Amino acid sequence: MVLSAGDKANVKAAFGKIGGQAEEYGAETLERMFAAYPQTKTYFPHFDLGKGSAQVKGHGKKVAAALVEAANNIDDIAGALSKLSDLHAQKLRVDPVNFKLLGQCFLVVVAAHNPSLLTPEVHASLDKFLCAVGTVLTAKYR
Amino acid sequence: MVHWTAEEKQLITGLWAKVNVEECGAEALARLLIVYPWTQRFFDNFGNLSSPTAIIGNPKVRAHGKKVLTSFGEAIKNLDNLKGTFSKLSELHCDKLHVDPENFRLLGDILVIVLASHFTKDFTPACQATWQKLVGLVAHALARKYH
Repeated sequence: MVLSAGDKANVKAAFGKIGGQAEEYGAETLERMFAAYPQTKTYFPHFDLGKGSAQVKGHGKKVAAALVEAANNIDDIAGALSKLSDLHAQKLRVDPVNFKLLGQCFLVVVAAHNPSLLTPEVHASLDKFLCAVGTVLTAKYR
Repeated sequence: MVHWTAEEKQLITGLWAKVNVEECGAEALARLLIVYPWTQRFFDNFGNLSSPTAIIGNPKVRAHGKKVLTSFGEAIKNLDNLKGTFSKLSELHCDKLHVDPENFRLLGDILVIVLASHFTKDFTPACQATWQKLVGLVAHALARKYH
């Protein structure tokens, strides 16, 4: 699965429009993921996962920042996320199946906040982009 | 045995009452074919699927989307018996249509995104969680008779 020039343009434009709301989207993505896929909470036993949790907001901000960084370096996502890839392989070891769940929730957040942004073409490009990010983050697992 | 809380049932039926099944079904199927192009393999006889615009405007896609989502509506009327409701359709998808059940999961996720875009802030995390549960159970029921 390869990101075409069109995909890259769609992703960059989408994140451009999302702009400063990315942090908020990150937090809501996590909130939705914990609600819809309770098994994902097992990676956060040390967090308060209650509504409005500052820890979830903080972590959502980190997740969003990584997505923005990937989008801004879309020609070399592996390079841009290399340290995060190491972290996930060596320390976090989040099972690869969970990246799809996070991706689904991120798309739902975009759809819910900005439906006109998520045309079918942009939906396709963002889905591919999120897959690519997941692939990079799990690339060094074994 | 599936268990639905009263709140979950309300989140499902309440939202469904406001869904335009034809529009929503058409959009969900079109997005499936666009976002996951390999799913087009089941629709060789649908004519022009060469671009997102062609897919969205394709009358067979619209009609089939409506059919699929109408069937989904049956699930909602029978939340306590999804297995029974989809038993024959499960056999059909296995024996005649030869559809990999993974496609039901893909369509379910797309449907959730379409609902989110239509209902925006009303599609709360609790609402999404309930609908992810429903689409997962429908996919499971449709896969149940596979052999």
